[in-house]
Formats: sequence, structure tokens, C-alpha cells
Amino acid sequence: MPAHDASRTDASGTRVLAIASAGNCWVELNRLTRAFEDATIHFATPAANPAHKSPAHNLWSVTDFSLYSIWKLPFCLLQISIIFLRVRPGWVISTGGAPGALAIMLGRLAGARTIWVESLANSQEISLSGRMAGLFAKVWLTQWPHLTRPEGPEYGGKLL
Amino acid sequence: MILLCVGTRAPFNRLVRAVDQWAWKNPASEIFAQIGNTTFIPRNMDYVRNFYSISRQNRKFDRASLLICDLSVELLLPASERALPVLALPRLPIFGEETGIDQITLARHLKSDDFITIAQDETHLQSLICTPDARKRQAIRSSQSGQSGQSDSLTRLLKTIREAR
Repeated sequence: MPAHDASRTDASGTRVLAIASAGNCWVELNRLTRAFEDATIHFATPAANPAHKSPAHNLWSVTDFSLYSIWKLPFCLLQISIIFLRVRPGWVISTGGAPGALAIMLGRLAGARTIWVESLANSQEISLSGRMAGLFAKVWLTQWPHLTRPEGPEYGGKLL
Repeated sequence: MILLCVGTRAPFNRLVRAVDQWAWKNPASEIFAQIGNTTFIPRNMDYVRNFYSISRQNRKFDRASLLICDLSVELLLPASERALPVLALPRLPIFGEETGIDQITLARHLKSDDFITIAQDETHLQSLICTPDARKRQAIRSSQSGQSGQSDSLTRLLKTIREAR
């Protein structure tokens, strides 16, 4: 997707979809969106996230799922598809969680540029979501140098 | 003020009990605790179950001179942004304390980060809270690392993402 694609930008710049599960991933994602100061950022996270308790602009709710609740995947897929149709993001960024990995895959198929930053908490190995997202992400980063591999992810610095 | 936080996802009885025992021996110290669904009820310090809002949590973090917590990144990040010294006790799966993150491995990798002091067990943790001097040393070390190593690595990460655009 070319950066100048007018359908993926608005008056304030590129539209970004930032999506992650609650907890560590969500906190890290919020810090990382500082890299998109000139963009309109749309956040998406499971409704169980305490962030949903406070009214916020551009906050979308998605169904959480995992390997143990894989039957919820179609619902999440539908919700993310609707978000893509409504937001038309030029960028998709995620720090973790199955919905984030799914959004990275959809983002790649939809022509958005995609960034996966593995959570700082995963210091022993790359998560399953990370390995799946890594196959589709344009930029695949880990925050631990010892987890880098020639085929990815790359070390890009860390939040702490 | 010493701030104790354990998050909301799993109980952490060992940490709350250890700090409560320390508070009993040091009644002059001001300690505030967020204990989540921990079943041990502290008797020697003020506590809440949850902060309920990010602004309340921020006010407590702003007032604190030392944060005692587990190795949750969601607690370590706001502490590092304030150059707040951290004393951490990793959660152990054997006691049913884990939150899905292997904190023992994380502790081993975070050893190089100076602003976090990692305790091996409850007794070690109590000995590390100890005196104002210890906290002062931690604060100095924290401010040094906060202005160099940590902010550099964060800057690098944000730069990597910006350059990808």
C-alpha cells in the first residue's frame, strides 16, 4: 500500500489500527503509538480490558480468543473485518494476543503496512501469536536481542 | 511513600504478607498497597483491591518513592517513566501465582536493568526494603539509568517504528 494512498489517510494523516489484548500488551501498545504522533489512531481490544470502562474516542471492541477457545475466532474475524471496512487503516500495529495476530494477517491481505512488536514479557521465546504474525508482518520486532533470528524477528530496542 | 502493587489478574499472598510483616516492624513508614484478589488481608498498611482508574493509579505512582511489585510490565513501565526505583519479587507457578508470564525467566533477563532490584524470596525482599539509605541509592541508580540506557532503548524502538513508515 503506497503511503500516499488518499483512502487510507485523512486531514490529520495516516490512520493507524492499534490492537492488543489487555494487560502488558495493552500498556506497551499505548506507549508505542507515540511513534504515530501525526496519525489518527484507532484502538481495538477485548471488551474485558479495563480500558473499556473509561469512555475513549476511536476505541473498538473485539472478541478475545486463544487456542483453547478457537471457536470464537470467526466472531473476532468478523469484528476486525468490520473495523477494517470502517477505518481503512494504512498501518496496523500490535504487541500481542490472538486478535492482534489476526489483525496483522488481515492487514497484510488488505494492503495495510503491518508492525508486530513482541511483548517485553516474552523474554524466553516468541509467543505463538508472534510467530504467526511474523509470517505476515512487514516489520517484526522483539525487545530482547537474544530472541532475534536471521529470518526474524529483529531487535528494535525496548520499552524499559 | 512505599507503594505495593500486585495487579488484578492473580493473587500474590507471599508478597503482600512479606510487606505487611515489614510494615509491622517499621510502623513509622508510610505504605500503601493495591492487593487485587490476594486473600491475605494486610493489617499494618492501608490498602485497596484495585485502583479502578488510571488517574488514581498515576496519583499513587507520582507520590511513591519506592514501588514494590511483581514483574508485570504494566507496573514496571509507569515506574520507569517516573524514574521510580522498583523492588520486585517474581511470581512462582508452584504457588499458583503466575499470570501467564514466566517471571523467573523475565527476572533473569531484567537483571541488567539497574532501576529494578529483584528479590530472591520474601526474606531477601524485606532486607532490601530496609533503610532510607538503600532507597536513596536505588533512586540515584535509577535516575542515572533513567536518563541514559532506558530512554535510549525506548527512543531506538520508537525510531525503528517511525523509520519503517
